Amino acid sequence: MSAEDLSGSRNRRESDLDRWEVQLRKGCLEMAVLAALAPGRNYGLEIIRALERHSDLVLSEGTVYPILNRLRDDGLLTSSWVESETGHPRKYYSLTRLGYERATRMAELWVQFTSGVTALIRPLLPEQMEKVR
Amino acid sequence: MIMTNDPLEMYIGRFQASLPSMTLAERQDIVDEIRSHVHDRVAAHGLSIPEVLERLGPPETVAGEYHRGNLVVGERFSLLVLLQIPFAAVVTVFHGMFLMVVAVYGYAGALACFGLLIARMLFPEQTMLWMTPDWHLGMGPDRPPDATVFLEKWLQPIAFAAGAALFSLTTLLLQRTWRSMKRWYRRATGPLGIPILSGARQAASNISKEFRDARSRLMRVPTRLHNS
Repeated sequence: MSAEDLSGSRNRRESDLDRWEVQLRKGCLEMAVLAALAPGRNYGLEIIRALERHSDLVLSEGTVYPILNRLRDDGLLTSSWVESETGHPRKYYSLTRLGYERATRMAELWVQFTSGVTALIRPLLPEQMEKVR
Repeated sequence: MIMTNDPLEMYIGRFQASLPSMTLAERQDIVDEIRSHVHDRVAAHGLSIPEVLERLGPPETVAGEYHRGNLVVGERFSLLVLLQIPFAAVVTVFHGMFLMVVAVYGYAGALACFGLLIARMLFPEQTMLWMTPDWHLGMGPDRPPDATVFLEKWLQPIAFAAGAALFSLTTLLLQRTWRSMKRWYRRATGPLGIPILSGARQAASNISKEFRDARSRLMRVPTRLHNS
């Protein structure tokens, strides 16, 4: 196998890994957005900031708005336009009762899921796992 | 066709063209939110608009996320949506008229106050204010014997304060009305976002792109022939 083939194969593997990471982030993002709204109503940029402060889930800011829209359409959020002091209106989102229940259930599932998976991957990363403990 | 070099408008144009079919109101809501995000990022972090747009991601990708979500609602088109367009157009026209009236009267009033301030310095006698016992107001040296002069020392500071206040208030009101007018204008020009037209625009854009690609391929053929 030539060096070019090896390099191509490695690139493909890295690309697969990137895709997996993107899917993982996207899967968590919905829960994270709901969690970011748990303290109270907020608008897009502040939700993104909250996500950036507590996680590195947001790779591209444009992915958050479609999620907010979808969650609203699913009845998990409500939204309203509010005039801001900066002169332009902002769209504020807040959790509905259903949204709060869904976020809580998601958080419970997340804890169960991660604790199980963490136990499973322990042999792969013994040193890091010691630090986590 | 309107051409623009404004990076935000170019981004919004590409974004709108890639959005899935949805009602006009939903489309406008989504676009308004993206605009609001850009303005917030610029104001909060001092980033340039192209930097903010880069952080948002390519417009086609962002619009594509709406395709993949449950947001896509299909080709809905109601009479209410159609009625919104002329209503928004009328509101936009009223905003424009209001802008003109405020600009003319506001700035003319401020100018008059500053003019009075200067006139008072140059011609103190001619700008003397007086009032008769039967509440008749007047200005100038030809005042009736029973008239009382008032605001002698205070006319200049009052004229200055009134002029400055009028100027500031007019500017503030114009800024707010202008922003509001732009929002209504976007709603009035919403037909560009009607699903059918949007699809046609996308098709035209694709044809144009294919034509450009074909032309560039043709341009490369003689070069390759020449090289071989």
